[in-house]
Amino acid sequence: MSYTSPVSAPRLFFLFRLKPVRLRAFQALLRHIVVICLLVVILYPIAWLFVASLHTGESAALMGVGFNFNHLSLANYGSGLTGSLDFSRLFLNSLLVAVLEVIGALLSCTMAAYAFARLRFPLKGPLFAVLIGALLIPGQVLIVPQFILFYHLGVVGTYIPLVLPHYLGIDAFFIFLEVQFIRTLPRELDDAARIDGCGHVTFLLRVVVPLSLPALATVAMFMFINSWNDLLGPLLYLSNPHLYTVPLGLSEFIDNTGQSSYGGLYAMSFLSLVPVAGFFLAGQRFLVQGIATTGLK
Amino acid sequence: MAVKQKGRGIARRGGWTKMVVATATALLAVPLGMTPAASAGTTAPSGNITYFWWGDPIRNQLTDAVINLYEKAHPAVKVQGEELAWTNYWEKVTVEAAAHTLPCVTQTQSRELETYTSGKVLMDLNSLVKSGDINVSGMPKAILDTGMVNGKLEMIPYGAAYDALVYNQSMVAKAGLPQPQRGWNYAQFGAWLKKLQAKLPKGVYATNLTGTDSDAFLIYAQTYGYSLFNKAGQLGFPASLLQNFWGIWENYVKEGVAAPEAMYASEPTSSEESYIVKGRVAVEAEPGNQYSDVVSAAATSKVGKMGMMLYPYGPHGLGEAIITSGLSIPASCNNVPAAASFINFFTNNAAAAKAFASNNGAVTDTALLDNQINSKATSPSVKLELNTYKYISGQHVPLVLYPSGYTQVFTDLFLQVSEKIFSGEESVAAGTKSFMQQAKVDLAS
Repeated sequence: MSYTSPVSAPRLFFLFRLKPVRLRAFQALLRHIVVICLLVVILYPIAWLFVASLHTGESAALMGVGFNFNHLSLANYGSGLTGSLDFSRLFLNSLLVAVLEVIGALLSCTMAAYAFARLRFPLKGPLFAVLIGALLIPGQVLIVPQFILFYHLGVVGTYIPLVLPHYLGIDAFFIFLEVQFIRTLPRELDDAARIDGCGHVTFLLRVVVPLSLPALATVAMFMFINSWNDLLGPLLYLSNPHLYTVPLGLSEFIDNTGQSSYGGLYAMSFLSLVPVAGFFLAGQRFLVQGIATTGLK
Repeated sequence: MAVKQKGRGIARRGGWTKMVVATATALLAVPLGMTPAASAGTTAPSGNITYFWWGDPIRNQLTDAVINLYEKAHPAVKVQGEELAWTNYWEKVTVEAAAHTLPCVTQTQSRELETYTSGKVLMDLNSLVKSGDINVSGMPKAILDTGMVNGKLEMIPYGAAYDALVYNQSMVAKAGLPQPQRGWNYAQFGAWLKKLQAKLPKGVYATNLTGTDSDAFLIYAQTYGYSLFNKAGQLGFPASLLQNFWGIWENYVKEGVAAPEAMYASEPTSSEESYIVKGRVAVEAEPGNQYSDVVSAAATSKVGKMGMMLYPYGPHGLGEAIITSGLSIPASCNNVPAAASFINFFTNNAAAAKAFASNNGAVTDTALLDNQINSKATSPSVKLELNTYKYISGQHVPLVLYPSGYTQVFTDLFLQVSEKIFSGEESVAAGTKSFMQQAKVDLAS
């Protein structure tokens, strides 16, 4: 089987004749071209979303996969932030819920993880197995029992059903993640702290927490993103539009049985990406470090 | 709201033990029917109720207007509105129904009613009709019967819808063809589609793929005198009928008259993004009550003027079915008098009907329907929707007995199998066989 190269061989030899400096510059150029091409592919949906969000009425739904730069306006942003759904309030609601959930997850997961990683107590092994086993329970199984419980506690229609479970160590994955991290801390630190008179609480607050910042930041970021994007929880527990969170508000733009508002949906979707992207960029270093040091991939 | 206060009080006074006991008692009590529900009787409505419905922002505004009218007429009752979009609505209703915590007035649909019967979630409204708390005298019996399940009136229908084919009149006129006629059979419809396809530009199809739609098959079955389901909740049609139906649509796809399966599968669900609005097909199946939405969206996209026709007829004539949306009272409701009063107002009050403007299907009260048809305020497209409903309801179409889990069991399975057929993964014969077998098993369970 013969093969004829479409490019004549002598033309490719110029690469080998380049001086090392020029060769490195050429490689860097190639690398940049590839990265820029990938960046265009990755950013295309976001750019499309932004341009579509500048179209009003049904023209937003009709833009297709390409870009249409005719008749652009910021009207969707204005009407979304101040209209009947009032997204400015929804953003604050989402922020409040996310912050409360992050605090809850950090408190409960850190304490539980410290106990599993450092303390000795009866049935520690089986309890840890139960914790890991909890990861295998599909969330859907718990929806109705949880709803009944919160309904009869009289807290449906408030943020309590969304927030409270995170203060009770419901996030088994985050506990596991922190256990993995705390186990990597040298045992000598425990001995040194004990000699200096530290109890468990002081040791946890003054030694473990400062050294576990990457893991805590990872938990905080994942928790924030989970909370910010959660639709089902607010859907089930919130009925007052004044308490709605962003995902619930976004889902109200589309209704299969009536008219949908695509312009508003695109505009508010674009805005809803900003806090997540900002949170991620601010804590990117901790996130990578946390994932690397806990052995998670 | 009373339940909320009760729960908080227990948690505050007695600690966890009392709370757990109270919760367990409540959990046991609700399924056993030990609810604080009171009969309406002659009690004047008062107190708070919540009305829960699905809808878009426009319907939400119209519903709020009805609530305001009701509260003015009944100052002792406060109605809390709660709305969600269609998909979210049913997710929440499913959980609340399982927990027996549905709001006192909950919007339901005839296709979904049976699902909530087995758990005794909804109240039998016959007693409220007999006592005169809810007046249904202006409603055709056939429409009222869509709210009945096993002799129990579980929903008072307030809006009636049907399935229709929306077509691009401008495309048809440009092709030099006659506009489609009511009463055409499938052969005439198919021949017309082929002539239309020959005149359409490349990439535009005469019709979207409708062979995947279980509602379209329901209509087809009824044109042959079959019901989709029998009284036992099992399949009421022979396999050969389904094979013929899918065979017709397979031929349309092979001949290039209907959009290919891949194109159909990537179509967004909302009317504004449908292919007919984008000018990619000339005929598209849409719920009849969304015709005016399509007309409005098509005006923006400038793809032409839209018309609406009924599905082709068969040996037994018209096959259309009426699908109603209505209002139900859950068995767990603690303010039945107010709930009944609100439902009565919503379905009978002239000002309420005018404010709501048949936004979720034609108003079911005959006199109110005629008012809207004759009103100058009603747009031509809505008038066509209402007149088409009036025509269908006058044809005495059979009542469809939707079994429990109709959407999950039948519609989803129909879509799965038909997508395999039209994508070429499975033959029509094999697909029909597998569908019949699976549907029988699913319906039996």
